[in-house]
Amino acid sequence: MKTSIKNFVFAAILAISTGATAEISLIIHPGNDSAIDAKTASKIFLGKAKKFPGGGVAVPIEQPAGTAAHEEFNSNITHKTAAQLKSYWSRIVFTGKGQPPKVVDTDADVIALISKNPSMIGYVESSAVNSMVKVVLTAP
Amino acid sequence: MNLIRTIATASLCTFSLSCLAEPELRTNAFITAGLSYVDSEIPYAGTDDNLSANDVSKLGVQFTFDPDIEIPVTFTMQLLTKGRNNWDVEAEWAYLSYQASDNLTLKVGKVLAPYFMISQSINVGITYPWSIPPEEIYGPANIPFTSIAGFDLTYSGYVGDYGYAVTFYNGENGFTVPASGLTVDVDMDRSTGFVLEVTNDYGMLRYSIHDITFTDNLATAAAPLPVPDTTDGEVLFTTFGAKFEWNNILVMSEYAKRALSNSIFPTTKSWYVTTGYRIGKYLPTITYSEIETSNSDLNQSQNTIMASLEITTSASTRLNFDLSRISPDNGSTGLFDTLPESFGGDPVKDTTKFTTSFSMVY
Repeated sequence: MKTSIKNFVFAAILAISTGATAEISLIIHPGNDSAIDAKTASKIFLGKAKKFPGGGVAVPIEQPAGTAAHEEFNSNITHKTAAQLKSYWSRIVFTGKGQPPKVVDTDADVIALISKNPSMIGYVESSAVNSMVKVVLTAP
Repeated sequence: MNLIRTIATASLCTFSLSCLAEPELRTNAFITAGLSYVDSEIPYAGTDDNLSANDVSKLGVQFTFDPDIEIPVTFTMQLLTKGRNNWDVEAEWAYLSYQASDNLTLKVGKVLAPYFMISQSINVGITYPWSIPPEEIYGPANIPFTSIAGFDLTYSGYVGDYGYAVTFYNGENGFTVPASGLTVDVDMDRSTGFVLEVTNDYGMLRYSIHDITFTDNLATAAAPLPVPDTTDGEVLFTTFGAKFEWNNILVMSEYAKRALSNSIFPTTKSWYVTTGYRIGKYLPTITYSEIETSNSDLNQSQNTIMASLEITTSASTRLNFDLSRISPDNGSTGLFDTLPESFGGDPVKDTTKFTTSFSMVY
């Protein structure tokens, strides 16, 4: 009995921690040959870089704030909380210096967009990745 | 789903790049609602010992129209109403932006002048850690105007992990100066300036210099001062700013020198330093600010110590509490709304001010 309770608690902790640290993949179009590291991805998603390292316009695609993918990506790549991101983009939007990335609702929507557009870059939970897109890095 | 996301998603409608070439209208908004109180019968920056919502409350809506993603031109208009401006609705921003290259952006129209570190986002409460930025730097006695009609040209880029932006602007405006109980109509003939910003992941360093020529008109002020009705003055503003956020630590500081010639208004040196430590959603800060005035019959020297608490109630909302102790120098009116005693004004004393506000962006 004691062992089964311990197993249950361990399983619960594992489930919670797995949910909180779901691996995400940064994806681009399969025809895009750009090498993209975390710093480059951060600059693109924060509006500081508008092109891929190899040239060509980079259009970042975000997922909604509050989703696991959004939290993991920004925690590991831009190193900003949702509140810090909102403050950051408010300073930019309301001073006419730019607009935040477009937001689409699901991993499937991100993959569908990027699979048809070499200019786009986005992130999804790694379990959703398929052959229609290319993974350039994973986190954490 | 909020409107911005709806518009954004609609613009990506059929999941094709050609869809991005369609015209797009983005709507953003911000609001701050709050109350202020000072334990003084003499008003301080428009607030007295009656609880007032005018000091801090404001509402703005911004429309950005992007006619075609392949044409590097956008149109932006931001309408603002606030208590400190008698709730008149004004276009604070109304400009055409042309991105000439990846690094070069030209704006033509009406813009908020980039005098200080947060001058251009001063109406957006969630972008700074207080209800009201330090009055000594950001108050109307130091900077009595916010927007200019003209152009600004910004060249920005990256060197390694450091970003830089160099801005040159030129414009004009007309405004009314509330200072030491005076109301003076001023025609700003020209404001020309240069701003340099260097940023990295942890903060910003900033330097700016501004040359402003103006004509002040005391005829409508009926001020009992022995000065001409009209004078042509010139201001040279020099400012330094720094902001660092590292782990949970926040440090912000700015210094400004306002050198006036041929004007009844004083030369000023003002500065503040803010330090804070973030604990989860709570950001307590302590701020010391000071202004020294010279070269004028209007002595407004004072200092303020302010304890503030910002609570991040959600990603888009903040709740702020500020408690300030304002100490005018001997013989000074400070930033109170009264004339000097020598011209019949009321004496001012050390005063406590309390402000609370709730801010949201959309």
